[in-house]
Amino acid sequence: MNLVFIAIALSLIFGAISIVFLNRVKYIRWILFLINSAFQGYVALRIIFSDSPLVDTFVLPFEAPAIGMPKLLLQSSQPGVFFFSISVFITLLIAIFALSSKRKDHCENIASSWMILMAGNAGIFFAGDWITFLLCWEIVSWSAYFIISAKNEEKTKAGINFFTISLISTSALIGAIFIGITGADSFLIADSIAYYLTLWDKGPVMAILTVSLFAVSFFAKAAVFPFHSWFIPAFKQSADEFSVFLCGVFNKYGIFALIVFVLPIFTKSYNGATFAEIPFPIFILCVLAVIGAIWNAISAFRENKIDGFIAHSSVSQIGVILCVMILGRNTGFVSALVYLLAHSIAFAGLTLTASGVKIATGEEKFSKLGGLSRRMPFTFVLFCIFALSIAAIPPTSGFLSQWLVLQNLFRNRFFITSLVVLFVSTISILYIFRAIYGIFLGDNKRFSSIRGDKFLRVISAVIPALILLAIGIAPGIIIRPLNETAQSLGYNTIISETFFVVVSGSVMDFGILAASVFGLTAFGIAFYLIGGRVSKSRAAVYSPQLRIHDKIFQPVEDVFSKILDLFSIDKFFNGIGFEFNRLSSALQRWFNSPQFGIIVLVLMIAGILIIGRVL
Amino acid sequence: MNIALGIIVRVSIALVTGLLFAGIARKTLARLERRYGPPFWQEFFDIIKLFLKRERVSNVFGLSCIIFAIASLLAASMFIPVGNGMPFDSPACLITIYYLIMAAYLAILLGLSESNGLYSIFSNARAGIFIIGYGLVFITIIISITVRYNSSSLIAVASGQIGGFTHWNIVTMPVGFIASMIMLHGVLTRKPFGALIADEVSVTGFGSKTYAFVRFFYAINIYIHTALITVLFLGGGTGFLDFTLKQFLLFIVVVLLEPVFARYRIKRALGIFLFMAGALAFVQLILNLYIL
Repeated sequence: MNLVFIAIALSLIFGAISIVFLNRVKYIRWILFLINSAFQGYVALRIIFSDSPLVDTFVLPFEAPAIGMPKLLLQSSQPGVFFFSISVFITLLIAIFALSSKRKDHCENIASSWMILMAGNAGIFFAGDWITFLLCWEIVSWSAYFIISAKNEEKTKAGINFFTISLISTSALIGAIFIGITGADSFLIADSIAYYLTLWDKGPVMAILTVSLFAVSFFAKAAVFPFHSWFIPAFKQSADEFSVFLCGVFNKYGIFALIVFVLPIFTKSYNGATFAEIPFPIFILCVLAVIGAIWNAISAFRENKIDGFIAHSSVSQIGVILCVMILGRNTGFVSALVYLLAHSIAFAGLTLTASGVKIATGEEKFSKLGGLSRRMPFTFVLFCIFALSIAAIPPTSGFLSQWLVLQNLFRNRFFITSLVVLFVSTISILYIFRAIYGIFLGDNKRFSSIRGDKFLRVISAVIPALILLAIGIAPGIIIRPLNETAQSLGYNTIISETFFVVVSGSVMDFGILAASVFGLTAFGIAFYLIGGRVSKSRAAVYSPQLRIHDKIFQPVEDVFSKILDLFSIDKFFNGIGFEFNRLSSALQRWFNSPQFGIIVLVLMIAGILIIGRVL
Repeated sequence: MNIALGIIVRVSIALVTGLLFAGIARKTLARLERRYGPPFWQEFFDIIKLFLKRERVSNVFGLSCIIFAIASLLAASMFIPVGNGMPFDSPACLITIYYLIMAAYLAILLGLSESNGLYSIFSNARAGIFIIGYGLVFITIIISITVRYNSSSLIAVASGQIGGFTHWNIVTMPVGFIASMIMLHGVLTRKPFGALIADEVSVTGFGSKTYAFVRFFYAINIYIHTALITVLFLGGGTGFLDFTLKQFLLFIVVVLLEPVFARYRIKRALGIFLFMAGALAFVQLILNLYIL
């Protein structure tokens, strides 16, 4: 039995134990969670440094009709290991963070359900057959539902919202899997993918249907337009720790599945219509991702709460990543992987530090926060590093990823997409300014007694911050392993040494860039210190209770709200729900009179049979 | 050693040119308004005077942000090919320059927001709104240029304009040039977009030295944007003097136009940026994509 099986089993056992036996000592659940995460981290390291790929089969101890005893296959692949490593790393950080808090609501059933979720998490990334994949996909969805809706009525609403979209996602996934299984006559994912590749030769209808079903399923999971509406309330209403997981890991499941199942369908076997040399279905997916990116970037700076701006910003950048990944010609795929890594770490870190602020102050509105830079200096510096990375400020890894992505888009002449990428990062400057100022700067005497820099919270954020800076200065350390992942999927690689990168003929030495920015800053500080003595006393009068106002960016909001108010995706889904409700009420009324219901049913069946016969 | 020397020379050029241009602007505007005005070297005296004063308040974060902003702008200036070359062996990517400039603006906004001025946050929020308008115009111009040269390298852009005035982008991309001149007007905080970053409000409570750094920031801002538009639209320069003369011409046009306009309210300024400069830049992008 291999390590991944043990990791999955351990997660399930720990989850079950903490649900059944640890009701009175709930704090121990987080310790178990930390142990479980640490073990998964160990498994990830073992797989990364292992020479041979992992393959193992587990036979379930019962017989199912038609297929006999189901076999669960686990096998490692480069993308699976990459995504698993990110997910485990972020979960480990969350586990460290969670131990720092002794609030009562932290020790509800979140940790127990989350350990079960981690079993599904490992299974998704290592599944070799559809049964394992679907089983783990569902474990993740159900556990997440319980975690999101763990507490009050608001959370339950967010949970139901999430569950409804998950239901759509799973239904579409089952449809696509069914096509693969019946075509390939096998439950193995590899066989189904080989079958999907032949679909274009057999006629476009089935191929487009498969792609559409997969796209619906994975876009819903990745919270990409038009299925992003679950993410924002889920992020806002979840426990702080799970919000970190949502934006750092959860929306990557859809991206992983898209890479492994959908993108191969558009390799050389594609012979359908194209638009600007892009397969037409891919073009449609890109348009959706781009709309989502712009929409959420604008929504992010309209938000005046910490959670709202992080959630919208995360979804916006996921749209960009997905678009670049789908268009991943030449070296685009590696660029998108770097972006994805930077996104995961930066947003996880940002949410961790923001959660620290929320726990310490109990506030989340920018207009009610402020002045925390002196009360929580470490959190402040770390928050700034993550925020700067999200705004792609050199020399963070956010800038590295933007540079790679834009060079690749330019090279492939995807200029409109590059305009969107630049637009999203330009808008981010505004909301990052509001967030940093609103939370940490200015003055707010209300929090003068707070000392919020807890050791474990700082440690959990220091590690990702250092990684972000290290990757931004020396990109070679991450690009070389990511090249291997891209190569395993048949994509081109990026030429890179420790400090410099070559993309499509453009060379950039990130070491020199960092040295010039930091060197000139150091020179400026030295220049400042030369000469007159510096008094350490503060000014006698400091701006009294100066805080950022909710409507501080009203002119920009006025300009962009015209775009946002044109169409509401929430109202669209609400409309669909309302129509379903009406239909079900109508059906209910029919069956109040049994004879009428049976007549309608018989007529419907007859109609379907006649139509089927005619066609 | 050569790199260090190159950096020192470039930093000096950026500071001296920027301060000189700022001084000339003050003098020119004064003469246009029939005042005598300060001498054009007054900026240098002001800076020296401010640096020699003792600092009263120590605001570490605000000061660090302002210095980081200056460092980012100076780092961006290292990537602009002036005359014979650059301090580093670099392709001078427009993307890098753009992000360094945006880093500088974010840092200066945060730095100035930490001042003691009661209304500094409102002043800086206005500046932030304006920077978004500027950024959206600038990215459209960057992409128009990249479409034309199939590269985001400034060296490729400059060498693509060799061959005389008719090859310059001011002739081949006039719509984009007009958009970039509106952008220049705004980014140098000249009327009608003037005083969006109200420094007298923002630096209240900072020490004199910090204020000197803020003045440095504005000076380098002038240098970097005139240098960028010189490379993008006026063919760059074969030598330092040639290049600086073109920069000066651009700058003086902006200064001479200033008295013609009244100061706009922030909403109108943003509208002009987005719907006039932005639209012109977008038209140029479409022209470059599908016609030129």
